[in-house]
Amino acid sequence: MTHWLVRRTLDAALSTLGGVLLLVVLVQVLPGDPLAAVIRDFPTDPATLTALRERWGTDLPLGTVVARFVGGALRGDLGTSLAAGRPVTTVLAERLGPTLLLGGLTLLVHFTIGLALGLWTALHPRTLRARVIGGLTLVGYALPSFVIGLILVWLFALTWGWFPPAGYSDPLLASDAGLGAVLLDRVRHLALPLTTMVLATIAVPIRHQRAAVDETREAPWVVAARARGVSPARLAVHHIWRPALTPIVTLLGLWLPMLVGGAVFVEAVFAWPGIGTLIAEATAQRDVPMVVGAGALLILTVQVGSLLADLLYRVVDPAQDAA
Amino acid sequence: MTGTLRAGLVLGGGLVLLAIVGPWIAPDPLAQPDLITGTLQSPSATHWFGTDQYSRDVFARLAAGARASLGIAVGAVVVATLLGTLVGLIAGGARGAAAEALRRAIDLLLGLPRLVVLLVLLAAVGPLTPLSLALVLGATGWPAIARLVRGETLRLRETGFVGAARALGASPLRILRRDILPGAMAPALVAATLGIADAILLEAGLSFIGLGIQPPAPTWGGMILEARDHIASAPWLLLAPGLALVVATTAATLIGDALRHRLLPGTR
Amino acid sequence: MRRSALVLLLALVHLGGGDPLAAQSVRGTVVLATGQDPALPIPFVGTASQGNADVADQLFLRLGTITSAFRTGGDRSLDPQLAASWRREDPRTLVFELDPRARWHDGTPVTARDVAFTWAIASNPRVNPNQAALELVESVTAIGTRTVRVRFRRASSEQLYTFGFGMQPLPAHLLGDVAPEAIATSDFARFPVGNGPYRWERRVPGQFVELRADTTFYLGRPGIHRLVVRVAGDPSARLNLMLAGQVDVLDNLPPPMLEQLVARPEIAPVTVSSTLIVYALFNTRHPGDTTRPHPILADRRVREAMRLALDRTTMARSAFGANTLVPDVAASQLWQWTRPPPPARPSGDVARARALLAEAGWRDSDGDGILDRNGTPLRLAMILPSTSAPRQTLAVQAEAMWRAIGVAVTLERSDFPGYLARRGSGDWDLDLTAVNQDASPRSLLTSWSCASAQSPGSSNVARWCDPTFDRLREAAEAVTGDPTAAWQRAFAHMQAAVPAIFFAAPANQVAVHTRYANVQILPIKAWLNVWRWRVRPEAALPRDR
Repeated sequence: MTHWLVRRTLDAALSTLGGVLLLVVLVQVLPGDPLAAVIRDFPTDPATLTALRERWGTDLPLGTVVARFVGGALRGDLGTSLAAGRPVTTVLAERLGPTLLLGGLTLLVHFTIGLALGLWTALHPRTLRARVIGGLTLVGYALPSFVIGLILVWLFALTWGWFPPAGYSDPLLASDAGLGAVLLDRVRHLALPLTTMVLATIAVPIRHQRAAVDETREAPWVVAARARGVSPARLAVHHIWRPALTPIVTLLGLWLPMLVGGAVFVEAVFAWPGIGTLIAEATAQRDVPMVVGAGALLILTVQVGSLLADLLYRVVDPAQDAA
Repeated sequence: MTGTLRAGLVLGGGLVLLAIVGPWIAPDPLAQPDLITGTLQSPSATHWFGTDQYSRDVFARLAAGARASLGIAVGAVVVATLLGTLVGLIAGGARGAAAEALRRAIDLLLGLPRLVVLLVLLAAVGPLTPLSLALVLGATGWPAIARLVRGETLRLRETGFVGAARALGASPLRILRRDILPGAMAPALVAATLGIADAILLEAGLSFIGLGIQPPAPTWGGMILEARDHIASAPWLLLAPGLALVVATTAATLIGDALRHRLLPGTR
Repeated sequence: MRRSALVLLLALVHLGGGDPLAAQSVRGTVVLATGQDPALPIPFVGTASQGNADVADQLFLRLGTITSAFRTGGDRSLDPQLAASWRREDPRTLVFELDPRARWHDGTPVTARDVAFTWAIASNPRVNPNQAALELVESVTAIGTRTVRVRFRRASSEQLYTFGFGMQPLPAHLLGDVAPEAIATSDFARFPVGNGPYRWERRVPGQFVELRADTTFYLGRPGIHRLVVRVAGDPSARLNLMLAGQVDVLDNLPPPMLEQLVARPEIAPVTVSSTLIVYALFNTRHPGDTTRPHPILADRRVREAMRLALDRTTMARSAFGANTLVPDVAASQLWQWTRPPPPARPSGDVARARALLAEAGWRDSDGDGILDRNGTPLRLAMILPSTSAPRQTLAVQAEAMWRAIGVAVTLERSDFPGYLARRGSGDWDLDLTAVNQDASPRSLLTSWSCASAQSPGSSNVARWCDPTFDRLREAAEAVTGDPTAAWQRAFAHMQAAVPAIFFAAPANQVAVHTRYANVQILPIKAWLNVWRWRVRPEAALPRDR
C-alpha cells in the first residue's frame, strides 16, 4: 500500500507538471498583443512598448518562459497578473474561498441528500414519488445551470424578494457584526447559487447510487439475508446500501475538480467572486499569467482528485490491493 | 427499456423535424419586420412564441437555432468519436513504449480542465462559425472517448476469439479492424450519444458568456443570452430556448441510456 | 432627433426639496457598482480599469477639476482643487501653488515634492503604459514646499488641462522608499492613503471597497458619509442588484435596463451628456494590401448608400435610448458647442440608397439577393468586440437593413484583445467602433488626420487622410477667439466625405435612488462630485443612519 501510494503520488505530480507545461505552450496560440491587458487601447510609442515588454518579459523565447515559470512555481511564485498588476497567487487566494464554499456545499448536498434519494428511489422504483424525483432530476440535468439560475433570480430575488440576486456578502453589514448576523448573511447569499448548482447536477449522484443499489439489491447475500429474516431496514442499510457505496465513494475524488472549476456559468449569473469567472475574465483580457496560474490550480485539483479516488477505492475495497 | 428509447426518439425526432421543416413553416429568422412597434410581442397566432427585441419571430429562431445547436453538438461528437476511437484503438493495439506514451498522452490531455482549454482555443480561433465551433468542441472532447476505446481494446485483445484469429495468422491491423473495432465501438457509441447532451449544454453555456457563433445567426444559448434583460417583461424569450434545451438533452440522455442497455448489457 | 437642448451638460438634479442643514443628522450612504475589482486603486500604478479609476478618483485629488463648461482649452479651463492657483510664466511654463490646507489622510500636508515624485512615477514607461496622456509635459520641478513649476514640450492651449487634470499626486513621504514597480505589492497598496474627500476603510476581495468620508476634508465635509463600490462583472447582475435595492446608482444603462429601473417608484432617471461616439468606420485601404485603396468602399456613393440604407434614428434609440443624438460627424455630446452639422436623413432613404448603388454599377445580375459588379459580389466584413451589448444591437439591426438593399455584411465578433489585433491589422472593411472622446476636439488629430494615417500603431486604423480636413482642423485649433465657426466648417467637410456611418452620440443614462438631493453626475469621471450629494432626511434608509 505504501509503495503504491508513493508511486501513485509521484505519478500525479508528474502528470500535474506535464499538464501545466502543456497549458503554458497552449496559451501561446492566443492572438493579439501579449501586453493587451496592460496597454489596452492607449496609443503607445515604440519606447514605451520596449520598456513594457522588458518589464513583463513578453518577448522572451518560449523556452525561457517555460523555465522561468517552472522555477517560479517551485518557489510558489506564479508571476504577476497583467490585468490586475498583482501577484497571481494573491489573486487566486482571494478567489479560492468563495469557490470552495459553493463547490464544497454542493458536494455535501450530493453526498447526503443525493445519495439518500438515490437509495430511496432504487428501493421504491415503482412509486409515484420515485418517478417524480426521477423526472425532476432529469429536467434539472437537462437545463443549463445558468437558465436555472436566471429563473431562480427572477422568482426568488426580483419577484418575491426573499434572497439577494447576486453577490457573496452584504457590504452594508457592519464589519463588526455578530457571528449570527454574518452567518445569516452568508446563508442568504448562498441560497440561490447553491440551489442552482444542486438542481443542475444532483441527477448524477442519484442515478449512480440508484444503479449501484439496483445491482446489489438482488445479490446472493441479500437474498440469503432476506431468507434469514433480517428486518427490511437493516437489509436496506447493511446488505444493500453498504456494498453499493463502494463505487460511489470514488465519485467524490472525481468530483473534486468540479468543486474548483465547475461553476463558471453559475458564478457569472450570481456575480460570485470565484475562480471560474476569474478564468473567463483572464482569457478575455489576454492575462496569460493569470490563465496559466488558475489553469495550473485546476490541473492540480484534477490530479489530486483522481489520486484521492484511487485511494478511497482501495480503502473501501481492500481486495484491490492484491491486484 | 423500449419505452425509454421510444420516448427519446420521439423527443429527438420532434426537434430534428422542427429543424428540417422550420424554414418552410416559419418566417425568416433574421428578418426584423418592425423595429418600432413589433418588438417583444407576446405569443400569438402570427408569432407562435412571440417576437424578440429586434421584432424577429422567436419560433423561427428556435427552429433555426435547432439546426445550429444540434448541428454543432452532433458535429462535435462525431469529430470526438472518430478521433477518440482512432487514437484509442492504436493505443490499445500498440505494444511497448509507444502504447505507454499514448496512454500517458491521453491521460495528460484528460487532466487539462476542458473549460480553460476551450476558452483559450475559442479566443484563438477568432470569429466563430458553426463549423469551427464544432471542430473546437470535438478537438477537446476526444480524449475521454480514446480512453474508453483503449480500455475496451485491451480487454478484447485478451479474449478467446482474438487469440484464435491471431493463431490463424491474421495481421494485427486486420484483427484491430475486424475483431476489435466492432466491440470497442459499442461503449464509444453510448458515450457519444450521451455526449451530445453535454455538447448541447456546453455550446449553450459558451454562447451565454459571449463565445458563441457570430450574430445574427441564432443558437439556443445565444437566444438565452439575448433574453436575459427581458426576463420579467418577455419571459417567453427565455422559456422557448430553455424548453428546447431540456427536450434536446433529455432526448439524448434517454437514447443513450437505451443504447447502453441494448449494447452493453450488464453495465451501469 | 436634435434634442441637445434637453441634454444637460452637467446633471444637477434636486430630486425633491430637503434642507441641507437638517441633512447633518443623516450620515448617508451611496453604493456604486462597477465591473472590475478595484484591487489597486492607485493612479498611474494600478491598471486603468474602471473599478480602479472609480475608487482612485475618490481617494486622490487632481490639481484642478474641470469647470462646468467642460471646455479644455486655455488657462481657465479648471477650477482649483489641490492647487489653489496657477500662473503662466511663458508659453511653455506653468507654475502651480498648492493649497496650504490640503492634507494626506495621515495628517501630513500635501507638498510640491509629492507632485514631482508622482511625475517621476507617471513618466516611467515601465510603470504607466499611458505615456501618451502626459506626452505634452517635459519636466516638473518642486520649488519650496508648495510651488510646482511645469515645463511643457511645446506651446498648447491644453497645457493646463493636461497636467492640472491629469496629475493625481501620490504621497512621497509614504512611497519614497518603495521602488515604483513594487508599489503594487506594498503595504500602501493594501491600505492606500489619499488626500480626497474619502479615505480608505476596507476592501473585501472580489466583492467591494468601502470608503469613509474624511470629515476634515479641506473643501468641506462630504454630504455622504459612506461610499461603497460594489463589484459585479456581469451587467445584468448589476441591474438585478439595483432592482433588489442593494445598489443606489448605475450609469451607462441601455434602454431595457433603464426602463426596468425607473418603473420602480424609488428610482429616477438622470440624463448626462457623454463623451461617447459610436460609428462604423469605412476602411480606406484594401483589407489585404494597405498600399491600395479599398476596392469597394473607395467609392463615396457606396458609403453614402450604406448610410442611407439605415434607419439610424430607430437604431440609436433602441441601443441607447431617446436622449441619443444621431450625428453625421465624429462629435460626441460634449462637443455639441462646436455646432456640428445636423444629420442628413437620419431615418434613412432606401430608394435613394438603391439608386446610388445602381449608379455606382452594382446590380443583382445573378438573382441571389446580393448586388454584384463585374462578377464581384457586394460582400463586406464588419468587425466588432463581443464585450459591447449596444454595438451588438446596432450591428444586428444594420446587417438586416443592409441585406434589404442587397449589401451582404458579415459580422465578425471577437473578444476585445482579438478585436484590437484585427483592427490594427487592417484586414476588415468596416469597424464598428466606440470612442470615448477627449474633452477637446483637438484630439481629432489622433484618428482623423493624415499624420496619424502614416504612423503605425495609431488609432487611425482606417488610414483616413483628407488634406482639406487637416487644414480646416488646424485652422480651428489656431483660432484665439471663439473657434465655433471654424470647427463647424471642418465638420461640414467631414460630413460630406462620409468617412464612417455615425450611429449615435449617446447620452449617459443614469438611474439614481430618489432619496438623494444635490445629485451631480459629470460627463467625464462621473462620480467626482459624489461627496457633494446629500440624503434627504425624510427619505433616509436604515443604511444612511
